[in-house]
Amino acid sequence: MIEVDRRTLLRAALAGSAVATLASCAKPVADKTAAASGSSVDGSKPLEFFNFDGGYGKEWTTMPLDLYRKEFPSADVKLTSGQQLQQQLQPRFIQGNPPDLIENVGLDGATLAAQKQVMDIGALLDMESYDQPGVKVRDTLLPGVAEAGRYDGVKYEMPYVFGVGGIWYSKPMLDKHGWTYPKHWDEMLALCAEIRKTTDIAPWTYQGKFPGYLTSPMLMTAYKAAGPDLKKKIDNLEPDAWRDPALIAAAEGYQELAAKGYLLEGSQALSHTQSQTYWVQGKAVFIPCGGWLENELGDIAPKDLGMTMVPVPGMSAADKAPFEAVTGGPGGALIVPAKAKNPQGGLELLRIIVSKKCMQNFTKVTKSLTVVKGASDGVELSSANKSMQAVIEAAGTNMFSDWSFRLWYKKLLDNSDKAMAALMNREVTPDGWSKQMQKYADETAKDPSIKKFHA
Amino acid sequence: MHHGKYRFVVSLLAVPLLVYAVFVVSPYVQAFPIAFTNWEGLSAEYHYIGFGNFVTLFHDSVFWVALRHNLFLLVSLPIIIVTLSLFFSTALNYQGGVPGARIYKVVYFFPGVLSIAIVGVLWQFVFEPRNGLLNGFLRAVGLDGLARLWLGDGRTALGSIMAVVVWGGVGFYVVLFTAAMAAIPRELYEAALLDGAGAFQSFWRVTLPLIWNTVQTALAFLVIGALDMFALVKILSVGPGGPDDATQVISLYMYTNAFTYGKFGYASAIGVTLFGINMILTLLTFRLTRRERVEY
Repeated sequence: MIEVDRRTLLRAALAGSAVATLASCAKPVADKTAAASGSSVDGSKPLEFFNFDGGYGKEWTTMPLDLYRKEFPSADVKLTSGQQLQQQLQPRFIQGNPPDLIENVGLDGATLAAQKQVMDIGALLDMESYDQPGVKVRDTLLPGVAEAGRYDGVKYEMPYVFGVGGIWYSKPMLDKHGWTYPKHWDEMLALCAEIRKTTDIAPWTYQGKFPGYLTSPMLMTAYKAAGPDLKKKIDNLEPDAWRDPALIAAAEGYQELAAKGYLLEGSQALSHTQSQTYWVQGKAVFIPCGGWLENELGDIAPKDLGMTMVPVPGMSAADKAPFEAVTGGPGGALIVPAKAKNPQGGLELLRIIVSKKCMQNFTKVTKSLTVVKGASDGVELSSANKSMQAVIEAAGTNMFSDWSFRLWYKKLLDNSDKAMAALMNREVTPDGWSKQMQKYADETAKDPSIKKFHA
Repeated sequence: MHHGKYRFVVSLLAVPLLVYAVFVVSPYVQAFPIAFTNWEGLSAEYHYIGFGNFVTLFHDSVFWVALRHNLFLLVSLPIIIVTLSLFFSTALNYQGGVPGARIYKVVYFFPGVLSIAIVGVLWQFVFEPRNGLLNGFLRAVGLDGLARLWLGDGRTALGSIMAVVVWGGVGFYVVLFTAAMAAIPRELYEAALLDGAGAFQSFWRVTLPLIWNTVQTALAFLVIGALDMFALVKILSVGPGGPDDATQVISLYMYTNAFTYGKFGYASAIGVTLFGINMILTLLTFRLTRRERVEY
């Protein structure tokens, strides 16, 4: 059995689409030869790249590795692939023999950072871009990318894909019934009531076996009501952060989905594949998911489904953040282990990977958008991709990265899933849910064995 | 000649024992010192923190929930499985074997052939709340009111997983008990019959005492098994271990601490505790089920 922790994988694979328009300022591709590399790479040293052979496969790695070989013909360049990073790489970290660059899906980035097992790769940002002479790597990246992947202000991780998270529906279905997607939660509940009354379609479904899928939109609704401070307080484990009235109100709102029978029957026990399949079959109108949904559905999605992503509804007209606000941004993590044999080589390969040329290739091969400006130029976008691009455009500066506590404190993340399941099974009241979450957050804050980070 | 026999036995056992020592015993032993460290499993660095992990464990509410579930399973699973197995194998052996007994034995044993991972995946489909076999059956026979979320509901989740364990476990013990029963001389039953014993009495007075050693072994096995439950809970349950810890067991919590939270020291402390509980219970099982050995 392949047992990659799914939520870790999805979080890291925050992928999908976006941002062709943000990329208009990119300069034309200019091939650069090895001479100007400018870094202190010892070209005679062997280099090993560890690739996570999951959602994006390994085909995309061929181009950057070949470019590295071209640059340093005497280097022995090796690709290792796998899906079980914990089992494959943990012993190597302990022995002090890790690969030189890792596509990390599965190792706890926060623990690696806390243990100083990863290298500060901040220097990469000020290096010259691999295929755009005179341009710093920093300036080839989409907004927010340079800042992402930091722990306590130090850049340990380089994201490479770009995406957003929201609610999905089938546009033809909404059009057919004359429904409009609501901007606030009370309108959402009113629409659900109408759907329930006039059709036999369930208004909502979600990936109940992994309740975190629904926690995301719920937290986002609360974020819109309370404003950006809420996220900061939660991420910094501040006392009573989870007791915020906006969170309790959002919990009440989402519990209504279960209480009023607006959920596809059985949703709480469905896996991600099961619930998503029912959604594709038109058994439910809305489903929360990230940008990878289209890739994940693959062939089971009919061509005329008209997959559309929209931001999560806010709470009410009094919201502090606009409806257009979404979580999104860079995802995935390329890391250079601090004890690698050839860290400079790893960093150089990383510089090659985030070149426009290689990222364009990544988009072509994986149909996922990347962190580099203009890398999606010339790639035809699907309905799902177009809608996500529209979401990103509309969000502008209101796009914010996912809640950091989910990356920093794995146990708190796990506990938030537990609490969400209890909420949707109506075993706790929204107030009880908020108290429980506060208790979990306090436990994390008090636990001296957990390294704390600050937003 | 005895000398040669021992050399033969030793040479046969040496390699497996060595492999066992390296790959099973040594990691087991290593877990003990690790349990006293704060090792996070991603570097060679760690510090000894004495009984710190065990103190934390004592105050960890999730651990107690998991322990409670394990203890519940520990009492209920052996009773259910042994009772059912005894019932089935007695039925198969009734008056020297019912017609088609062989086919039944194969049918009972069949789940035991499947890997536990496959069993888990198969039952996922059975429990699926919308189109699953179980709810589908209930609705087909008009018992719509009994359809449940099964794994998604805290009240039924643990029971559902127990049902899978029983389904998978009964067959093996049916075969085990049947073999033991087949070894009982027919004359004993004939004598019992002459003394006026019915089917029920000859089971209690003849069959059970004579296969008690086998039952005892079965109970010990089941007790150890009930302390594990890792694979099925990991595959079947919501979360896993949920909803809201409703199916949390010690082995899964140990795994989660090691591989999700990166707390290898703490996970080892859980492992060591589990080992202790396991030892005590196994000894207790043998002690409580000890009876006079019946010679025949």
